[in-house]
Amino acid sequence: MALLTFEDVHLSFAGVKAVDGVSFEVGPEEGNTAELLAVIGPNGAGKTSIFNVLSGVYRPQRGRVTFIGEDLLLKRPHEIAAMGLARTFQNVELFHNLTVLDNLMLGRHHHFRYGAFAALLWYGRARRAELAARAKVEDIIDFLELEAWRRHPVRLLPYGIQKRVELGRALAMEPRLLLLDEPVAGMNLEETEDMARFVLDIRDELGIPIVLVDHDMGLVMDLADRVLVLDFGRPVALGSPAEVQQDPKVIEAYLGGTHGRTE
Amino acid sequence: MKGLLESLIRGLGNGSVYALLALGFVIIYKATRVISFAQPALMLAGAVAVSYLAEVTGFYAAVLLSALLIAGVALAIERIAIRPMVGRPVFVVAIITLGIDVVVRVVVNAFIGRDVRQMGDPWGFTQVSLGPLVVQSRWLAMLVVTAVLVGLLFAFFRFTKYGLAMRAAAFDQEIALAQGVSVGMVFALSWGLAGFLAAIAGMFVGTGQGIEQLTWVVALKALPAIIVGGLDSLGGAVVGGLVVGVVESLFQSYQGEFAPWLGQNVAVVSPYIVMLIVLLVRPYGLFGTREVERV
Amino acid sequence: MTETRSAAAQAAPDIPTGRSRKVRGRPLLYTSYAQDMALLDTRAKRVSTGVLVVLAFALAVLLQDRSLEVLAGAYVLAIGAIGLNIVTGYAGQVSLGHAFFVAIGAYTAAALSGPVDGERLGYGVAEIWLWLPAAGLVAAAAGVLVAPLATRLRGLYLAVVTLGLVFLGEHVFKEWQELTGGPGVGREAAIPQLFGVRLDQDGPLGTKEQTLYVLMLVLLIVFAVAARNLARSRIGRAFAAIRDRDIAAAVIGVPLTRNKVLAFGISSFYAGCAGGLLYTISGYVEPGSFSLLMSVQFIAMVLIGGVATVSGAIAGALFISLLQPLTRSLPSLVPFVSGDTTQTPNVFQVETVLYGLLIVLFLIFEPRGLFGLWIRIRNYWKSWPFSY
Repeated sequence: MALLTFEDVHLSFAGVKAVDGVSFEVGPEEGNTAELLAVIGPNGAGKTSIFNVLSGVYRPQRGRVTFIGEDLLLKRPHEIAAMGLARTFQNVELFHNLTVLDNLMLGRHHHFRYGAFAALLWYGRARRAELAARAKVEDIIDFLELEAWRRHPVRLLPYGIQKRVELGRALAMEPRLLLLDEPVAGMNLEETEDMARFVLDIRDELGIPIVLVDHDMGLVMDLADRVLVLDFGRPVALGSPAEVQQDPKVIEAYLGGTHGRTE
Repeated sequence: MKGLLESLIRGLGNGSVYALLALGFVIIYKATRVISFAQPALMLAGAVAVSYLAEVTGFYAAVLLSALLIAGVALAIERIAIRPMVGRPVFVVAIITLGIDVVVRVVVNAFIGRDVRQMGDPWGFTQVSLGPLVVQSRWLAMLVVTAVLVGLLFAFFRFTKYGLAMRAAAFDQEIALAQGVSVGMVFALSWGLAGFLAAIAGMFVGTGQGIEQLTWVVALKALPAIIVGGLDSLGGAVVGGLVVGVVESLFQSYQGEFAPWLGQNVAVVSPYIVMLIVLLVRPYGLFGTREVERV
Repeated sequence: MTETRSAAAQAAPDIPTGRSRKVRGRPLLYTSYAQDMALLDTRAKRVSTGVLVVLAFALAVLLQDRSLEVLAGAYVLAIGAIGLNIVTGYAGQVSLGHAFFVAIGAYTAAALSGPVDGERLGYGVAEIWLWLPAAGLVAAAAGVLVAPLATRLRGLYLAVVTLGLVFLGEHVFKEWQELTGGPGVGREAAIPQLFGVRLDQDGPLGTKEQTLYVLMLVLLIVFAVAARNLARSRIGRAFAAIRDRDIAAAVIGVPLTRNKVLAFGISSFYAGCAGGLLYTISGYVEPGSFSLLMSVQFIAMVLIGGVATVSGAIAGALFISLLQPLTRSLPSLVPFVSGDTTQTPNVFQVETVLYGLLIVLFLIFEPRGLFGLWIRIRNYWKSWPFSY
């Protein structure tokens, strides 16, 4: 059975169709390693809306979404997060007054079990849990090369680093599936390459399947195992990068084609 | 039935005063996204100004002069304490207005002293007959003046270029700024208008019974009114003010008879009870826009 | 400094808890996460906090009873201010209703410890370790009841609703004369008794003021340390996340409703305890005390002291409380200020204007409050004589 199934989902806002009958699945199917599915499409194609449906921010009017066999549409955002679905945001959504450490520790929020009373005393279970969580967070700081920024409030960090901290926060959740919303938007070449390296490491070393939304065609074609192309909320094509690139409908909708469509 | 109708008219009269105050809150809120807790002080200051000026210039000129004077005070407050805070969290600015309220009120109280000050208004507690009903003439004056002011205000927002600028800034400050709207001017205008309306409201509050140091509390009834109507709706402010006035008036007339177990003076807090009930059903008031969060 | 810390963390990844090596001459080298996450993580902080605490206890014998009374009151207000800081500073839920929860605590404590057959409601439970938690818990329960509204409302809507709470509370407390004695009359406050010893009377331990002073100081330390612990725990982080960006908080797994309810609950617990203690000093509660002005005073303490810091809330409470004796002595210093309330300007007016002005000036010029001033001074001396 697939990890995530997204089946014929329809979402509209006051008549505007943001997602119009999109279906896809994310592995791993039996025996496969973690896969990376890329979702591409012009602005307003419904990419981010799909993520917002997945993380429980929007409720679609029609369709079925299941994750590890459970219906996601009945759950609230924090419950979905606790099931192991982590995401980053198109515009960085970090907690700006908190340090990098605190942001990452927040990713582990649902792994803690101690209550308010233990927190007030900072004794026994609470103290042990915090120290253990700190060790795990340090692994992520190490993995994403954030050592130098640990104690800095995130609002003071450069944009590229903020993106990386957000990725770190999602990883700290120990997700079963990672949703990345435009991880390299607004980055320069060097930062893009760094990010691409981290994304591949997450898939190959940590074995976490990824759904990635982006505009950067080069990056998407290089990284993705499969590509889903959207246009005006409708699915246009789904297949390997090579197949998708050859598809005439994709060329027409997204790559410019004969209309010379520009964004 | 006669009692009920008289009670209703009293409620509408007082309610229209709350509506004037509520409009001030909403105008400032729409322009700056801040609830100005300085409104009670401005209202009290307006009433005090009328009570002094009326002895010199006569009542009607005093009302106009006081309203302009308080609008000027509001402009000064905006320029000194609010403008430097553009771009800071709204909560911070709201608390600043709370601080200003406390300061201004102390100054105004010095002018009130320990007595009750009369407005010198022509209405007092005189009564007129409307068919079978006997109502106080000041209630009718409140209703009529408020109706005229609300009409003028809506025309101002609808037909003048300043009104258009204010609507644009309320919609999106940055875009308005990019289109050449002076957001600073919009801030100033909103405070000036609110001060003007607060002064008129203060004068009406003082008709009949006069004002004393504690009268500022009346202005707080506009808070449930704006919450009931919705913080960002001018029409909501008017409706909210009237609803609060009528509810309060009905409580005054009938609570002692039908629900004595609530204790005396429940009418004073009845606006807040209405507010809580409305919020349980509609968290953004009756006409307020729901904030849509994007991520 | 950052480099030193990260080097330490990398050098010892296998001892995340407990044991730590001491390295001579390197006071800022941490060899365990426990050291790095300690409340007082530098020697300077440990020493200065220790000195402050010792000094505070020493004041009990150094100061006159009148000064001790003022300080004891300030400590209790500090407990209340820390409570407001939890809900407004850390969790970002603007509450103008703090006076309401303080009132609930005050009356719960007064009713529990009042004489059974007295004029007012009383149950004769004078032991402070019984009525103090009870006052906190009843107030917390009220906070939890109000919280569901808070989860539906945003920003200033919530501020106005909590303001309404103060007015509703004032009404109820004025009308419920069996409990409160009614306006202008009031009732006797909670009686602090510890294992049969009345703490509000001169006794073998010292004068009434001395024993109350020490009691309030001990309680303040307990409440302050607990709040610091809360702030660095999962719960404190969740509050801050909700304050900074609530949708993102929910999406990464922080339940919004539960945490907002918790914030109101804990904050109200602090308020309730402060309410129970506050009036033991004067021995008398009047229902008119719990007005909007009290809420504004608590907000002033938090803002002047420093939002979202425990030490700031304490500093703010001390500042506001010490302002009062200062202004009360004005008439003898400044000829035109009168001590008589019928005169203008009188000390009460000066005091009120000062509250207002201080709030406005701090928010405009130093939004981090006294805490921010302290950080500026500290940073200046850290880099002295270099200005960078």
